This record gives sequence, structure tokens and C-alpha cells, in this order.
Amino acid sequence: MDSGLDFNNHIIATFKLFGIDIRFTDTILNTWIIMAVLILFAIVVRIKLNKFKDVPETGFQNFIEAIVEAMDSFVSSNMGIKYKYFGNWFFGVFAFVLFSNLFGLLSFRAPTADLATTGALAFTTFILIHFMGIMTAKGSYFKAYLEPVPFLLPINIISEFATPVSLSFRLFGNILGGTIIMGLVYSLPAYVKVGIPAALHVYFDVFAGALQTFIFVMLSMAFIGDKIPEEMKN
Amino acid sequence: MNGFILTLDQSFLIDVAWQLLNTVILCGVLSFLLYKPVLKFMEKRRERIQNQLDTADEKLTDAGRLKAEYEKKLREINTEREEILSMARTRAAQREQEIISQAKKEAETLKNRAMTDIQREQEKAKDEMKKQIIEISSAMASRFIKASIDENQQKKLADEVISELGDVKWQN
Amino acid sequence: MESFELASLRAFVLGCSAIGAGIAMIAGVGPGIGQGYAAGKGCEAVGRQPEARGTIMSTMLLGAAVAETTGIYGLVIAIILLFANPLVDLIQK
Repeated sequence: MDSGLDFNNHIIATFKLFGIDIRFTDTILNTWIIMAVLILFAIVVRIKLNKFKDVPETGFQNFIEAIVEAMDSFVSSNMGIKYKYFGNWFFGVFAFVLFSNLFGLLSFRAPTADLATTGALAFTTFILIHFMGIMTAKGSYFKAYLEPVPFLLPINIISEFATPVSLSFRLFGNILGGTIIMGLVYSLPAYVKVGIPAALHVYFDVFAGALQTFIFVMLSMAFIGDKIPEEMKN
Repeated sequence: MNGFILTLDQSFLIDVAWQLLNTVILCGVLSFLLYKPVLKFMEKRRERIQNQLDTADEKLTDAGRLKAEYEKKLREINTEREEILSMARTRAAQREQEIISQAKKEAETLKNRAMTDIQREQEKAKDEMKKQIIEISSAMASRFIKASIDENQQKKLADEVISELGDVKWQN
Repeated sequence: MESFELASLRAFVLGCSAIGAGIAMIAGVGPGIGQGYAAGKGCEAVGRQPEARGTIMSTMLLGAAVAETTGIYGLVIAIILLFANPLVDLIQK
């Protein structure tokens, strides 16, 4: 690792809390930076909201309305109008994942290139899937595990656990793959590094990042919406 | 610098918990500060515009109703006017007819009266003539028979002669 | 002597891990074929029904993402073998 090849998740500090080692890593630092930026943005929006007119006059208001409306219609078309309050959650997830994926553009390490981040996101999806399953299907939720034949129960359970694993690994693998390739390119001699990284950044960070964000959110919605019976969606 | 890419141990679980906390906080704050208020704002605006549209619709239907009413009234007025006009026309025609017939009648009566007048005049003239003739004849007769017959007898005689003659001859 | 043996064992395990990582990346062939097929079918669908472009595209992306899962598993295995090798830790004991 002396060749400048460095795409590790650095441990900045470790400290003990209740006898457990807690490490403070790049991921968490970058997450905090993104959180700060997004929360600041949200505060700005909240302050400017009072000055919003019925007919948008500023590009800012147009932009805010466009993204909120897009999220709203996205959620209601995927999960039904009755459950569009999930937009509150997915809007945050979408913004966080998108900013994380684009964070590589600023030569920071993307938080989503850490399985902990994607694992946490997929875990929340997992929780929501089964929470909604129990809430909407009640008793028949557990009966679904014994179908089509009771002896397939272990396979059903494994497939339920495979959902968050594949969700988290998909996002993690895509972004980490991009990070590793970018790290490899940046460790090359200087004359190769002219222009080429820009194109690669566009592909790995902008294109793959936006696409994987979209896919992550959409798959989460699809998995959660799958548990809601069709007749309860409206 | 020490680092790692992927570890699957206890500290990974702690990282997951940490990121879970971060994500939940971020999503909560974004939802509370950005998503919900903007959505509420848009919803309110949508409702307001819907209300305005509804009232506009109502007003439009009202206006349509009023217009139809007025048009109906106008049509009624038109038909009424037609009726009145035609009635007036017929009445005028009737009146005209009446006037003409009255005029004719009057003319008839006038003519009749004139006729009777003329007849009376004729009769008068006849009488006059009879008288004159009588006078003349009596004068002539007196001349002729001055001595033999007195005047009264003469007159009687002449009257008899003239009335016998006159009844036949004066009437054509 | 013992440390040399250990070191050579480590080197052997690392080399095998690298080969294993390379082999694991063969998993990328499947998703490549699958996604290409999906994209081709998506093009056909758009050609047949251009007005449903948005729906077809999002459905295709969803399917492609699911098809990509196996490739991502291969990638994750390769990454674990290269950077978070559990086998090397086993030897040190």
C-alpha cells in the first residue's frame, strides 16, 4: 500500500463506551458532512417556504416543488396513494444516498462505499417490509411462510433475509467498485491521470450513483409495497 | 494510516447502529423541515385553487342558467310582441272593415234620404203643379163659365176631373 | 523457521485468495448477458410501444438491478477475499 493505492475506510479515532470499542471512521465523518449540508439546505427551505408564492417566481421554489412533487408521485405510484406518507422516509433516504454517491466527486470517500451505511439502510427497509406485512396482513402474514408447502419454511425465511442483503450489497458493491477503480486510476502515473478520471467520475459517481440511488429506493418501495394488499393501496 | 474496506465483526455492527442513527436523524429532520411543509404548502395551494375553480364553475353554471333564463324571457317577449302585433293587425283590419261598412251604411242612408227627399220634392212639385193646374183650369173655367156655375161647384168639378186624370197620368 | 513456514503459508493463502477473487469475478458474465438481454427486450418494447417509454424504462431498470445481484455477490466475495481476507487471520492462530 505504499504506491499511493488507497481506497480504505480510514479509522480516524477510536474510543471506548461501556467497554465497547467504537471507531470513528471516514464513513461517519462524511455522513456527518452530508447530514450537515442537507439539514442546512432543509433549514433554508423551511425559512424560504414562508415567502413561497402560489405561482412559483423563483427557480429555487420551482426546484423544491419539482423534487417534492416527483417524490410524492413516485411513492404514490409505487405504493399506493394511501401509503404515500412513506415519502417522508424515502425522501430522506433518496437525498442521503444520492449525496453519498456523488460525494466521490469531491474526492471524499462515499459513505455508501461502506457496508455499514448500506446495511443500515437495508435494515430499515427490512424492518418496514415486515412491519407493513404484519400491520396489513395480520395473521395471514405468518401463514405466507408456510406456502406453498410447510416444509419450504426455511427457504422462505432465507429469501426474506436475502432481500436486505442483496439490497445492501448491490449499492455497496456498485459504489465500492467505482471507488476501487477510481483509486486504481489515481495510483497510476501522472500522465495517465489527465482527463481520464473525469470521464470515469462521470460514469461511476454520477451515472452509476444516480442509477443505484434510484434502484435502491425503487426496490425498497417495491418490496414494502409488495407486502401491502392491492385493494388496500387506495 | 490504518484502514479497512470490509470487516464482518462486532465493530461492523456498531457502525451499522451508528449509521442507522444518522440515517434516522437525517430522514426525520428532512421530513420535518423540508418534505412535509412543502407538501402541505402544495396541498393547501391545490385545495385553494380547486376551491377557486369550483366557485368559478359554480358561477359559470349560474351565468349559464341566467343566460338561458333571459333568453327564454326574451323569446317570450318576442312571441308576445308578435301576438300583440297580430292582434292589433286583426283588430285594425276589423276596424277598417267596420269603418268601411259603416261608411257604406251611412252613404246608403244618405242616399236613401236624398231619394226620399227627391221623391217628396217631386210629390210636392206634383201637388204644386196640381194646385196650379187646378188654379189655372179653374181660372180658365171661371173665364169660360163665369156666369153659370159658382166658384165652389166649379172647384169641385175641376178637382174630380183632375184627380181622375192625375191618378193615372201623373204617375209615370 | 516457524515464522518462515507461516509466512510462506500466508503467501500461499493470499495467492489462492487472489485467484479465487479473479474466479469470483466470472460471476460478472451472467448479469452482463442478462442485462444485455433485458436492455434488448426493453428496446423492442419501446419500439413497439413508444408511449410507454417511462414505464418500460423503470421496469427494465428494476429487472436489471435484480439481475445484477448475482454479479454483485461475486464482486463482494472478490472484495472480501482481497481486502478483508478471513482466511489469513485463520492462519495466524
